[in-house]
Amino acid sequence: MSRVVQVPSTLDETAFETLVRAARASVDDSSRLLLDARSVSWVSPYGLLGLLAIGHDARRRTGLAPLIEPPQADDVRSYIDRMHFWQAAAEIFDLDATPPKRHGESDALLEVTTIRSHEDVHRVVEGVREKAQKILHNRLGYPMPAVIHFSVMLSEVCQNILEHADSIGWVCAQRYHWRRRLGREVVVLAVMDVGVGFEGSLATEHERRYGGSWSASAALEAAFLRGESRFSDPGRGQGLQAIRKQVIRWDGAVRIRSGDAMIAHVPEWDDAESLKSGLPDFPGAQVLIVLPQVQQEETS
Amino acid sequence: MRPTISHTELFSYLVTRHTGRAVRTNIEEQLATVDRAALAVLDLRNVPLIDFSCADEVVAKLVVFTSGAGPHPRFVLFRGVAEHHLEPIESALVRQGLAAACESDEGEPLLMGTLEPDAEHAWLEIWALGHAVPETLVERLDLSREIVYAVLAELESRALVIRDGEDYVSLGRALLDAAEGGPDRRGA
Repeated sequence: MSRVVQVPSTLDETAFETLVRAARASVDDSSRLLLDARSVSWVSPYGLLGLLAIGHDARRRTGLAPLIEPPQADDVRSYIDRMHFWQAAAEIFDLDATPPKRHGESDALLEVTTIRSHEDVHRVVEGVREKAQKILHNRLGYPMPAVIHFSVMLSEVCQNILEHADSIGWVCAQRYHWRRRLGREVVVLAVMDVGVGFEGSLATEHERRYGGSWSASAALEAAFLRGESRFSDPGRGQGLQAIRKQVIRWDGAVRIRSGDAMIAHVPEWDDAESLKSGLPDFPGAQVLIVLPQVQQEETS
Repeated sequence: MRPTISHTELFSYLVTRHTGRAVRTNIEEQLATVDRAALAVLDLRNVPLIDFSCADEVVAKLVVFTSGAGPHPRFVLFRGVAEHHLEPIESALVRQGLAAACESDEGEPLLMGTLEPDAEHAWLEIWALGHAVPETLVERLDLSREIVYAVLAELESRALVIRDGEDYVSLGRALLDAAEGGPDRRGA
């Protein structure tokens, strides 16, 4: 028996919450999840990876490969093809059709890539340089060293999957024009896994200190704001701190969701919340980074 | 005391802890085979990128390794350090209160990490002179004898200079001496 969950027509980080709530509520041990994405008219990198994460979670919970109805709109279908979504989806969903062959070079900064090993991180970091230069430097006005800083950030955020999630994960990045929201172009980077999450990862090392107040939001604050790690090694925990610092320097936004909580660095141009709990519970960590185009008067 | 030089040139992206651990383990294994003082020289000139995790594994942990107790003194010098290497390396060192002897890709001495200003001045002076006895530093740095001895003891204990009797030798000079004195170098 399948249970159908409607995918919101605009599939971004807000819609992801709606989808998680619906998908997790509908999945029991005997039902196969069907994500009906036919009416999707716009999808962000976060939304795209969200489909994979929700599908992976459903498969793990039920033991049944979920199904997905692709979007009907041509431009969305074409975008999803160009982002190499179906290659990653084929490992999770029971697809009717063979995934389309990979197109040549797409306009994405980074197509959907599955991260399961250190070699994958190397491939992503070493492969992104040329496009990062074209998009960050040439198009968004970042100085040349930003190309290296972006690669370092990408490396650290992807490594979090391997070091802390004990699971596979996915990464992708795209450039957009945020006309209404910001009036500028942005690069949006999404990274997701469905592993143990921050609360589980840091529990062994930190839970006792927090007593009864240990939670997903406490774990996120410990890691994101104070650089605490699940390892006692004092060299650990730098990665997230480095990402946060770099995003702040670029006047960007970074948001990490894990368990039932979310923590964010919110720049002045955004009105999002910086800490939130009580979200629908979901495994692993879901990271969203937004890097805005440099305004002319900015120097960094 | 002329240390054996263990030279490693790196030609790849230094990303991920896994990669950093492999690089460091290889260097530690090379040093373990030397039954006298040894200086590990890591050339980063051809490293297009180093991330924070790898900087911790390669730089910070090697600094901890060389400044730890052992049967023979161990030193490490990072060469070819470029602008884009600075932040990950500095961050990895500062996080643990460590300091590393480095040389920029333009051949300038760089003391990275955490060190008191007097110790840093003394280190730079020794680098410039190649080697120095305490009296020379007392004169040139306008510091008291007591401070100079304390600073030299710290530089020695952190494996940032090589003590040879009363003389304190920079790692740069030791490398040069080894090259001039014959092929006492180990490829990696």
